[in-house]
Amino acid sequence: MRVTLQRVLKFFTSVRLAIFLLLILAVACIIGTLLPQSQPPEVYLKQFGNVGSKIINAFSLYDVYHARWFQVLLSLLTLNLIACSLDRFPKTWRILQYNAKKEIDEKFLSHLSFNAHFICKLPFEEAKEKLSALFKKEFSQLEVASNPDFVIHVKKGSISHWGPYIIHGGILVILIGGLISSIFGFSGMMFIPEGEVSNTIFLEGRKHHQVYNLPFSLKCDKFTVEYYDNGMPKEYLSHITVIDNQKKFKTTIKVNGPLDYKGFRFYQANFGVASNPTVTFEVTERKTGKKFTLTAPFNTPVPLPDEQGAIKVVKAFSDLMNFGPAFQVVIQKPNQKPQTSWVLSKFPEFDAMHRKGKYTLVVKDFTRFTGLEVKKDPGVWVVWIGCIILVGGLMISFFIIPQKMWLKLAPHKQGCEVWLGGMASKRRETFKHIFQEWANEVKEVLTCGT
Amino acid sequence: MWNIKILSYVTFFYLGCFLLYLGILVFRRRSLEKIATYATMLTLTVHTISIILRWVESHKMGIGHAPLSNLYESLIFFAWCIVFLYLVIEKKYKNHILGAFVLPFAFLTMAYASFSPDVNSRIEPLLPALKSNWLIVHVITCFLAYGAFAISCGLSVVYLLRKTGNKIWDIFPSQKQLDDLIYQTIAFGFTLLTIGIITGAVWADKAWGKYWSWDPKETWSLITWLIYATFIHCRLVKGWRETKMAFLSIVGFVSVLFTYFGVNFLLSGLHSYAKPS
Ligand code: HEM
Repeated sequence: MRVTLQRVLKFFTSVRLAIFLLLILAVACIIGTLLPQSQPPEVYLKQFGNVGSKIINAFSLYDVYHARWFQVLLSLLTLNLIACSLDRFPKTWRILQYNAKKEIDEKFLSHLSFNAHFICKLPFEEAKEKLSALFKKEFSQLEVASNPDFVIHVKKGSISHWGPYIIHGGILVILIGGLISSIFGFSGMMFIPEGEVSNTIFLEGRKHHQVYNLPFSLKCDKFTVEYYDNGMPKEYLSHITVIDNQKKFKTTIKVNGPLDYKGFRFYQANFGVASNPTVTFEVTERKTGKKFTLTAPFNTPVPLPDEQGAIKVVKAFSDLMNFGPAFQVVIQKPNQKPQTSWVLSKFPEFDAMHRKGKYTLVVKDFTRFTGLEVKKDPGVWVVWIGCIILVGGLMISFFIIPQKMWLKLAPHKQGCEVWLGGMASKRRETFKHIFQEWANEVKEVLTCGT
Repeated sequence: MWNIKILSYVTFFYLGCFLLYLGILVFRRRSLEKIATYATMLTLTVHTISIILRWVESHKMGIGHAPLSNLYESLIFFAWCIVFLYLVIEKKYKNHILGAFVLPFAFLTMAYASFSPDVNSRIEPLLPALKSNWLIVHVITCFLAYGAFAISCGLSVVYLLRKTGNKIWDIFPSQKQLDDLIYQTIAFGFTLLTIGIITGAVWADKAWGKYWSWDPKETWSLITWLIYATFIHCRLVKGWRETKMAFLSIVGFVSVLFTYFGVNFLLSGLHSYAKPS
């Protein structure tokens, strides 16, 4: 029993499992990008045949990132991370404690993996001062003993050993944040026509077909689009009034500029023609070229400029067969059959070209709705905190190199004798470089060429 | 559009620099080393100036934005990152021979940007969703990371050549040094890629309301990240340093290339980038 338990523990603490999991996750992600996701079953059946679509169904490959086994992989990774960190902790602790050695002699120094030894002409006392000054400048942790010989022990960057723990901790925090997001978060859409007030959100994702009522309301005062000179859209802007009991305030929501209020975020996502729009036309008399402006509320007859008949907007679409916003109007004249026609806001000449009559119509303006994506995501802050921890850990791990060095100085008949030793518990090749530079610097300070 | 013209000349200068480095390798002329380095520095300076010129030009057109907004601009910046990081490494390690394996990446990238008909080099205004400072940080960090990965890929090729034991390759740094250098560049690239993915997530959160939506581009950068994380951990398993590592670093770079190009061209247009709101 004990043996199996130990085996299981060993399995979870191994880096091999980590490598395996990372690679399997990568493969899962590759499948998720190559295979179209979240399509109806018929699509898979058509594309991959009977057997193929059975496999896809069996492994939920139609939604890899939310499949059970994907979640199992993430859980295993979490366990692996925790187990591995706990397992290694004592070892790291020991490495950090390892500086208690007080008796620094030649034997100890020459057994270190990096060492140097040289003799200089400088007198002992002078050399002592110069070396102290040199090391004090660079190292914060410095121990000096001068009995019987002069010995310096310096170290720097031990925090680097905690780097991996910080990195892995950060990843854990991100995973937890993701879990909180997926359990407690939701998102949905809100559609508000200009001039109207709403607090209804149509939920998306797992909870779709449900609505959620906000504890406050938004009023869309106006929706505007700004354009560049070449006709490309520059900005989509919703001018909003937030109404929360007695409190009221105005704000704008634009792409990349969401509104944050009471834990909800509102993003500019969509816009279009309101379902019962009031349309403003520019009406031109064909013969004279005289222009009038006419404002027609939805489904309400409005008299034409000559009072000989009326115009009524009966249908409105945000996008009619890719021609953009379109309005169906009925023109009623006394003693005539009503004339029905489309007016397209993107094609101002359309009406003049396709309809006969005394007047031509051009759409000047209409009531729009703004579509706001609404999100509540209590996990997002946890994710950002995890990210900061992760990046901090990476910097500490990779760019701080732990350095431990000892220097012993003794009088010599030619002047003084120096032993230098260093120890690297990580990044040996880089430390070798650093150690070499230190050896050179010491030689330079003591003016004792090679 | 001066900048585009200058940048197309820069492409050929990089070809020249590459030939100089190749010359060092083939003729073993140490005297070429300084010339190659100075030529590369000079070209990088011209390269930098034309990027700045492009920036200024976009402001003159009244649609000012950092020149990091479309494929052309990103390629130009990618090449810049490769050369810049290479010069830093050359200075630090005082080895001039690696250039022959790194500069081709810069030259090919520039050539693709300048001469491929698929790459539109005009300065264009930004779609509303792309107007974000997070996006600028995102692009800069991602491309520095890609640059570092390109270099580590070049070094891995050198490493594998060195490993064949042939005398020709003796002028390269030792296997140990190369291994360390590969690790350093990957560590650097990995950190920047991490920051790049995170700033991308922050931007996505601001623009679309989702910090992670499993969009193919996002997912492929995660795949790249996972591959390099595997690389970092392989060193911890005994006996896995050597060839496996060099191999993984090349696979990692292939994944970088796929993230950068493959996703745009091979996976159908799902990238939310161009999606008007
Ligand atoms: C997404 C997942 C992971 C990422 C991005 C990641 C990243 C890293 C990084 C950057 C290092 C630093 C290496 C250094 O300091 O030179 C590291 C070290 C390490 N990681 Fe991970 N890691 C991940 C998952 C895991 C897992 C699941 C394990 C479990 C076994 C693990 C075990 C280790 C170990 C043992 C070290 C070495 C610590 C040392 O040098 O003393 N990692 N990891």
